[in-house]
Amino acid sequence: MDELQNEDSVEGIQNLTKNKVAVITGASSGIGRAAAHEYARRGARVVVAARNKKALDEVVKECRNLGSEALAVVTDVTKEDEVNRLAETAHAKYGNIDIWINNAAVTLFGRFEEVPTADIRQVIETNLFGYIYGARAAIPIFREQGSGTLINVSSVVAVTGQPFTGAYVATKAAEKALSESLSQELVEEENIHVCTVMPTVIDTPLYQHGANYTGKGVIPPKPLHSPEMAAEAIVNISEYPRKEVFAGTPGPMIYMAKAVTPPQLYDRMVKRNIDKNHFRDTLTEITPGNLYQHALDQINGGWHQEIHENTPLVKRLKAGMMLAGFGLGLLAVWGLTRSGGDGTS
Amino acid sequence: MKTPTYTPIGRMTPRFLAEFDSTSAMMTALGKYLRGEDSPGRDIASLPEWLAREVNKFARQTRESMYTLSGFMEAIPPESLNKIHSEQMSKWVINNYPKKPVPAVAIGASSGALTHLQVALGIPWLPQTFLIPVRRPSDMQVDQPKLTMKWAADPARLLLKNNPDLQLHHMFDPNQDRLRLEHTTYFRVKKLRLGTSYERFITDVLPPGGTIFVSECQRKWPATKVDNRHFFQFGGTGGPSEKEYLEGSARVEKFLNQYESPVKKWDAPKPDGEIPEAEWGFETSLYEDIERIAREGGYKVKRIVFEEPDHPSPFVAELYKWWYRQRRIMSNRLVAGSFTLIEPYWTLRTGSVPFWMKYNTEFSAKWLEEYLDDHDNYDELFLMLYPPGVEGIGMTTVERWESILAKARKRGEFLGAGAEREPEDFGSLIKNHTDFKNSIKARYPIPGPLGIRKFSEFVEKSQGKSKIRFIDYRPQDINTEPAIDRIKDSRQSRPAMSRKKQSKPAGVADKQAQQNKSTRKQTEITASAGKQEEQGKNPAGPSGKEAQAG
Repeated sequence: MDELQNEDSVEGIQNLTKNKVAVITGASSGIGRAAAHEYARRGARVVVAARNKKALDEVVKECRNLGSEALAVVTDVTKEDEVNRLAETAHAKYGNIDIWINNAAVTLFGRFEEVPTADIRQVIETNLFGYIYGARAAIPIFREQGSGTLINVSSVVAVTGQPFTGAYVATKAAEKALSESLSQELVEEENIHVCTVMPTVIDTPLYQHGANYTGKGVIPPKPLHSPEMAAEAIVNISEYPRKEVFAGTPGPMIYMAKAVTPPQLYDRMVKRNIDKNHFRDTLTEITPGNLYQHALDQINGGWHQEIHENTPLVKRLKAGMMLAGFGLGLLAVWGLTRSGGDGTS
Repeated sequence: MKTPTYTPIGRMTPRFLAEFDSTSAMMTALGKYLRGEDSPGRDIASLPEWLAREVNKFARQTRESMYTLSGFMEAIPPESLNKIHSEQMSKWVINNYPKKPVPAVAIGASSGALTHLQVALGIPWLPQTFLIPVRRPSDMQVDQPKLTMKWAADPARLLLKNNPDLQLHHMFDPNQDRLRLEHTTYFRVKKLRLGTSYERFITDVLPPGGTIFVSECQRKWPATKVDNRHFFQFGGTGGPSEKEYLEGSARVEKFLNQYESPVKKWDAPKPDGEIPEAEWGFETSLYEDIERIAREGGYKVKRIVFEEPDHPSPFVAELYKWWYRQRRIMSNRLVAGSFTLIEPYWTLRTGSVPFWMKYNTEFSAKWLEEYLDDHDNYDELFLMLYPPGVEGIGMTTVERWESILAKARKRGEFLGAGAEREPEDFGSLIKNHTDFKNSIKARYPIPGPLGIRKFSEFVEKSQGKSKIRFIDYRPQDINTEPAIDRIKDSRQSRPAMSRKKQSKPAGVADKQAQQNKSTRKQTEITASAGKQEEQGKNPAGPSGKEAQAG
């Protein structure tokens, strides 16, 4: 009985992921790899896809060590036939696909007008067409099954914007828009869901592996979150589908700040923050990074020493929000007391 | 997708028309689809599912009585026939369709397969044949067709005197319709003229250059001329052969004995010749109006020619498969419906390939089986079988259907009825609709119309592969004389025609001419009894080795 409880529940909560089949692109590193681990931990059968076979084999081994079935399919998401083959292989192996996670992404740092057009195109090919191919491979299977969840891992920059990563930001916004559109197209299908996860800054190798035409070193801006936190957000949304979710505390706050700040002021603040917190003063060679070939893959970007779930900025924002909440509460109590007195008449 | 129609009240079936009929069911399902509505079908299918379970709990005899009673309730008293006007039927039909421009309109014979075709093209269909069930004196035995024929002469006159544009095919089949015929008889009427409503509808929705598809089922049946525009057809397709209906046979005797009939064979009236079959056959007289309206409106006329109502099914199934593949749908599931069970909306919604069967007869079973043998690529097979009410001759056993379901690579199931199904499992009429939705989980969006150009592309591609021909209309190919005249003519000219037939060279170039001739000479008197092979004994294969696509 205990065994059964352990198998079917995670920390006392019913495990809705057990035996589900999850396909994850970009699973050789970062959020994708962490998601593969999380799905494996919860008993899902995981199909991992990326360009790096060696890294994928490691991921499969790691998933199996966590007690789950796993399958690696080497896939370049910029090639539609390879994405289709990924879907076919997964479907043939397990008979169905419950969850498809579009996650593979690359980035490109530099002034928009100065970076090579070919690199911009490659970012779009990977981040946008990769997701498009994934959606087009997964949705027919979901329709045939009458159920399934497509998760597009976008980014908080899809709603906040970010300078010097124009191509990346454009694709992340497009991914979010794609989710929106697909969600509307599929609104009549009760058991088919399209979700968007928008992580904030995550400690992944994206920053080292990204193409860089700035001449400066790139570091993730604070506050930094762990890939495991983003992975958990992905698994949770596949269990309880919602349209959109931020992964990381500052997401909603930045989003709200944007809504209430005058546009020019907001742009200046963001530019200043990125200038200050996203780039190092150290000079770096210009590089196309992992745009055209895979890099050495791992979960973390090695920025762990700088991970702060609660940086001074976040702490200040949280304190501010708590204070505002407390004030609103007091106002409500005062209002109720007054209306209670009047109500006697 | 909701589109305004003329009026919802106008969509209600006129009191005198049967709802359990093929025309009603197909037209209503098509109309609902074109209006963007789900199609729970006709008959009792709109009743709740719990009722299906309750109905099936009754004893067999009770269920049979209920079936008979429902037929009686739908029938009209004979004296009401003089209140019927053919335009009421036409108005009902056009009220079921949205009034919006369409690239084509279908007219003519009913076939469930063609309903699926019309659904794919998003075009309305204006039926030629309608069923008016008429109450019959209960002292008349079901197995006394001659008596029924004579009795019907007066009521028929009431109907026909007010409707010069109708031809009555009084159909009486104590095999398949046995339960309903206890107190009812079937007046099937065929429109010889389009009439005001149909013509106005066509000119309203069909822009110049549009196409009129004429579904031309060439199935014929021996009939007896009773009066002007009044024929009596004894029996119907799918069960015993024409000869068996007329002369009896061992299985006819066994059947009659099973139902405790006092006779060993029916006293069928002697047929005068062959005319278009009452329910499915197309009466070519309608071409006169079609040709005129096409000339006036600048329309193209395309004939869709086939012999049996089931014949278009493989063509339509392959069309759907082709269409689905273009839409990146797996198309690995076939849903075979029979008679009024067609469900066009859910067919598309579940991405299923439709295959329509006329009835649960051996002919249809074999037709489906041959199609599957030629196209063995379905993972899933589903069957929706209409409960016939009786264990009639030619009906297929559950085991036979199960052997067909076993051809599915992964899953083969009945919808609406399980292996325990019985002929009077009327609950399945309700259940098949809900079963369709619940058993098949796949959900695909309802597509836009296939389009005439794409359709023509498929027709071109499938030339020679099916038993359905698409032919450009030419007036010289058609004999538009009413059947009554054709029968009269053929009586007089029988010897001459026979000679002509003999002298005609049978070359390849004459193939088309022979087909045309068969249309023109369709009323040639033959001792029709014994002319045809027993139904279903040797239906031509759906691979269509002997057929040509137009």
